Amino acid sequence: MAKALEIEKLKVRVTGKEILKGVDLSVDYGEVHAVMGPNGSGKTTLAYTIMGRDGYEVESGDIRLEGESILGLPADERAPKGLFLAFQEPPAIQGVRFSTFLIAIINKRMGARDLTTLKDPRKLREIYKLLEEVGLDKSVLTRELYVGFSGGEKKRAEMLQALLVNPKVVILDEPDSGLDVDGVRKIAELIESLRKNGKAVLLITHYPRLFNYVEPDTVTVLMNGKIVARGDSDLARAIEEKGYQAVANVA
Amino acid sequence: MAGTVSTYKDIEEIPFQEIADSPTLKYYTNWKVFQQRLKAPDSKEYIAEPSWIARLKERVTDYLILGKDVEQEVSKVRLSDVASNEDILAEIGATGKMDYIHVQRLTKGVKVALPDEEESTLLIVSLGGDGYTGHHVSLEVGKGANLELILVDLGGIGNASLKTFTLSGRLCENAQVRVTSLSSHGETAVYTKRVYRLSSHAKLEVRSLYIGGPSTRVNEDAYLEGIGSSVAVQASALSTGSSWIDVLLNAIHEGERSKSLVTARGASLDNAFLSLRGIAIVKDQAEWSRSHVDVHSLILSDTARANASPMLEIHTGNVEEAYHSASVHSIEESELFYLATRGLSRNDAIKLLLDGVAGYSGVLELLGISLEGLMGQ
Repeated sequence: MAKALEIEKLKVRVTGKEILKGVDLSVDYGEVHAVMGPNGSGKTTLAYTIMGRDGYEVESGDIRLEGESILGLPADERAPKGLFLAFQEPPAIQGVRFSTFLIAIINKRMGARDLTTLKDPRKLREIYKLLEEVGLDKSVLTRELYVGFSGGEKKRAEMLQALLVNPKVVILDEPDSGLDVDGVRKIAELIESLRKNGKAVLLITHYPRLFNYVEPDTVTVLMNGKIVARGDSDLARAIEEKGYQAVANVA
Repeated sequence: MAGTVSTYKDIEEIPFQEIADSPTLKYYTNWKVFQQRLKAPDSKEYIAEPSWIARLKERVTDYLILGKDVEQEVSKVRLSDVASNEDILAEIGATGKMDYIHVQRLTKGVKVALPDEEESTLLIVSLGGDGYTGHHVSLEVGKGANLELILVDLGGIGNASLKTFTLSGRLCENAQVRVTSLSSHGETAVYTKRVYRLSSHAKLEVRSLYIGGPSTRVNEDAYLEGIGSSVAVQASALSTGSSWIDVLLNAIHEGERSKSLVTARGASLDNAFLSLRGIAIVKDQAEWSRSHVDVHSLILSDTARANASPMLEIHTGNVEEAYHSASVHSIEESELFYLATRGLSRNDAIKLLLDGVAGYSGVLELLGISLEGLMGQ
């Protein structure tokens, strides 16, 4: 049976430069697959390519969701298939309230033509419950999307969406960056919650501290667009002790 | 100039606006469209009241529907004949051709007064017609009176129609007025001027949404004449299709410790043009005033155009606060990609952003109307 997400021999160019040089990995339901690597190793390129960002040109290889290639689909058609990306630094969008945005994405998934009036009012209760679960105040709903949000609020708001839209595969791009210890613990709790709910989680990070709270099933190390090591959580611990270069040399 | 013009020929000699009606030395209004329609015959037929007006009528204590005549039901406010042409010109601070055309061809004018210490929720609807329509409202809000004013300004019928709509408001001491204003102009070229004069400690709050026609000129002036008077304007403007909108929001501080907050958000798409200007003028006697101007425009297509100009003109050395900011920006690829990862297409993203800009004023929410319903899309 096909896994939730499979990436095969993926080569990607961005503005003419080859960034990913043949990446293979997969993640299945109920698993956390961590992709680690130093800055500039191609981790965010991998996330953007999976989501279908314009300008991220797939030279060769494939990306399959439940065995079906998604390479020909534009970004807005990949999301409804069950892919979700929590951004490292989501853009601030002036003029759009967070509540309006959440209603739009819920309605879109329910096939409503009107994106502004909540099609299923029961979803409002769910939003309030999730706000509490991720530790955000209700007042964020009336604020413009990510305008003036703190780093922690952004991460929590991204996690809220991941829980709200019920995707099959959740890609988390540096969900712990810029957070204090309590923030990291909270994000780890939410990742565990996604795993327990059977989601396939691709966890991108360059700093192993998150693994004090989340035990990944698989760890893949990416450097300069290539996979240089793969293992379990012991590999993450080795990275913390010796650094990326040492791990890569051993591999 | 008021009172010196008597014939149509005299009016033709008057320019549409004074050279440099703002420090930016530019004409932002598409006066050509007004010029082309100046000779439109008087309207014979008027648009039907939209169904949501009936709902608004039920919510208010008083209403006036202006078309060729006035349909009215009032209990709290008092109505009387409109002032003379010269008085209207003086009240609105006539400066250009459209002001004089307006008083000469006025279809209907009405004077509305809310007595001292009274409270009212007043709906005023100005309906456009199939030719030229001109409406004027003189409003006087008595000492300590409290008015909730809903203003609806609708375009008329056909692509040759023209409308002028002016309002002059006097807020006596300690009066409080909250204005919720919706302007939707369709195919009609509309010239709008609203001038409010505030006495001591009077308070004015204006929430406005402008959805423009082929040429929409909106000028809202608040003269803060009295000590401690204040105005807060929160406006949204949408320019779509081939619309051309020029919105000019002025706060003129004349009284000590007066306060103004002028904020506006606008969006233009398709081949439309939008100009948002917010101006605070602090005169020399207006010491210890606070003024804040904040205007932002969003361009949503490759062929749309927009500007946003905040201006402060300060003639006194003593101000408590004077602040302005502005931006014009287009939709970023990173924003579109983010929204796409949530399943929203480019068109969805544009609708969301338009709705956000319209929602900034809060007008649709307060009136219980959806943008989609209003724009028929």
